[in-house]
Amino acid sequence: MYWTRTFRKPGAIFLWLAVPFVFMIIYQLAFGGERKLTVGLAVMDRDSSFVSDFVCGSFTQGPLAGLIEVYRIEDTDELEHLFRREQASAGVVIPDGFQARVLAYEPTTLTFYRNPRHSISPQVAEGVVSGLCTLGNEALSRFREPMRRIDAFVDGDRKASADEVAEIARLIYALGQRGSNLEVLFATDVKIVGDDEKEPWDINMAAMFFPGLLAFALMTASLSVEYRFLFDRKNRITHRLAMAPIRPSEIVLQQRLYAVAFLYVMSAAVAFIGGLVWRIPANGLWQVHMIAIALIFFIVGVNGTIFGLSNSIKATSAISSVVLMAMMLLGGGFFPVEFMPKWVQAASAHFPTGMANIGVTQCLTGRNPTISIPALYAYSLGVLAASIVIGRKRII
Amino acid sequence: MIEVRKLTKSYGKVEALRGISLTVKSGEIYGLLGPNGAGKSTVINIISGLVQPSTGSASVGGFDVVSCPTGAKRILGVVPQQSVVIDELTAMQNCVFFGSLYGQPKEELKSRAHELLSWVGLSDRLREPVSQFSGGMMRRLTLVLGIIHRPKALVLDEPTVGLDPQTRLQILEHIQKIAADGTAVLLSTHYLDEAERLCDRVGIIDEGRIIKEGALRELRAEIEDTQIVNLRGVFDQAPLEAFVASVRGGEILHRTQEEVVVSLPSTSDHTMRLLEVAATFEHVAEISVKPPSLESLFIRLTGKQIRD
Repeated sequence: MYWTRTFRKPGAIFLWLAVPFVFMIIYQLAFGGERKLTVGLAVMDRDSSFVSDFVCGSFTQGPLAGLIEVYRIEDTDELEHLFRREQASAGVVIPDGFQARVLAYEPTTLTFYRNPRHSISPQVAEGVVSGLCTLGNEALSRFREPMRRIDAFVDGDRKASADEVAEIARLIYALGQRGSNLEVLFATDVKIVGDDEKEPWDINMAAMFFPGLLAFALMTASLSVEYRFLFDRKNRITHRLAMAPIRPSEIVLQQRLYAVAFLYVMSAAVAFIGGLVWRIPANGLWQVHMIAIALIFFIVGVNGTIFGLSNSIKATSAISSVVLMAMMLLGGGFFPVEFMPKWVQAASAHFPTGMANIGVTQCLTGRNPTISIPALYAYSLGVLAASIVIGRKRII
Repeated sequence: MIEVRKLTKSYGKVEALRGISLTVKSGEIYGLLGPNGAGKSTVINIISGLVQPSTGSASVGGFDVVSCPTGAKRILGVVPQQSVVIDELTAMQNCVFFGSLYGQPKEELKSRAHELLSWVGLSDRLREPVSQFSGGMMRRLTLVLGIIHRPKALVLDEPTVGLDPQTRLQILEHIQKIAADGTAVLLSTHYLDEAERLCDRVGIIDEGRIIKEGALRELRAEIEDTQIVNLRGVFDQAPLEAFVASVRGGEILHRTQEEVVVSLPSTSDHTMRLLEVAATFEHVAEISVKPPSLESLFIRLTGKQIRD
């Protein structure tokens, strides 16, 4: 009967099925895909010298070429304009007399402006500018010795001997070679390997995000199922069922069974389609399956308990929404828990939705789940049992 | 078929039932008559197995509704006060679903549903979702759902409330036919005309007690020499009291500041004399004289209108 009723109004099903896909596409557009991150950097060169030109050019050399897009500007009005049009995330002002100070080994300061509307990109730009300054300072400190010798010959009245010129040339050549060796840095990948990992880890973004979104879809779908049961209670259909020769506990068990089966079928369909679309590696499928079933038990149990305790649709709606948000937060539904504050991570690791999300994500990304699956089942079956007891009391 | 013995039910300090006993035989229509809040629905909910009695017992076909609810429910049909149908399903699907709860085979249910839906005039709407039905059609379908499994006893809780006269008449005819087929029918209602038209026996219930019970003809005999006069308005009640006291068998049944209900023997001209007394009053808004009926009996027994 419940299945027939569900398929009589299939619109809602498609809506639930669409939730993880819609969010995943939004995430992909925001964080992934083929689009490269480009940071607009406005450069105001008040010195217009060889060295300042060198600094400006260095922002777009080598690997930075794809990352930084330089806009040369004349004044702060232009900088303001670029900020307002969202073209520049940061601005750098090279002061007048920059070259003279650099060549005289005197301290000088580049002024850095952040676009207040941007959050991440200005940090990237600041990192690039600071990094180049560090490299520049290091290079200058190394050139100090040959430059001092040249100055000494320029300022003094003695001509350098052939050997002395050769010595200075050797020093500069060696420094140049060291400098060119720095290029190697730009061609080097940074590989971070965890303590327990031996093999390279190929991260699939969807494997990180999709399980949480699927959990969110299951929670909302579960709410829809519970609303149907609540309306049945309000419209006395449940009472009518209880007038038939069926035990009240059978009615509740049938409802819970339908809720579990519905979420299971839905999660299998969504996971299958999502897995195909985003090529999520099918790692640890058996464990993922076990965790997913436990999560479904938990969701059905929690929502069944809330709806069983309440008699008012308004109150139920409010309470279930709050609980849903809490479960989403602790379960990493919208965002992986790994990116959340430490205390949320700690809470999440002991909360069933969080445990499930962590476990599934770990499995799909080729790691062994660090969560306890028996503990997850203990939580879930406990809550499910509570929902059955409460639901039974509601019928008669 | 339906037997209720000394049934009581309390909700905290509120006593909803105070020792109700009744029996309904096969083929009989028993009318449980009383105002809203008298306890009719509580009796029906106990028989249906939805409410546990505080004391006393109820049984259907010999099965106690508390100790053997499944046996009792299997032979009991219930037509609740509201239309209880599943909106998303068609009339046929509703019949098959509710019938299957009683363990009936699907094919048999389909053929029975065809028969019953045609009987209540819904045969041309078999495949339509019930959400498209009118209120009257839903009531008729609810009646069908109550008898789809061929119950031996049928309980109807105010089955015609809120219906238009035509649908109401149809439902009453159907109930008569169901009883004629040998089903024991317990009908709860506060429509006296319904009880007078349908019921073989009537139990008048008020404040959780059956205050009068008997065959319709016995009850009618009890009231055939009585008339109920109802006066509404603001007037000095002393002359009225004096008049009623002077009449043998006269009685003031109910009195408030704005209403007096008087019972007078209908065999003499007492009513005319009462009207003459009333004519001397300054502000009488309404005078009504009720002929002998269940309603007048009810007023005589309880001192109040059945719809109070």
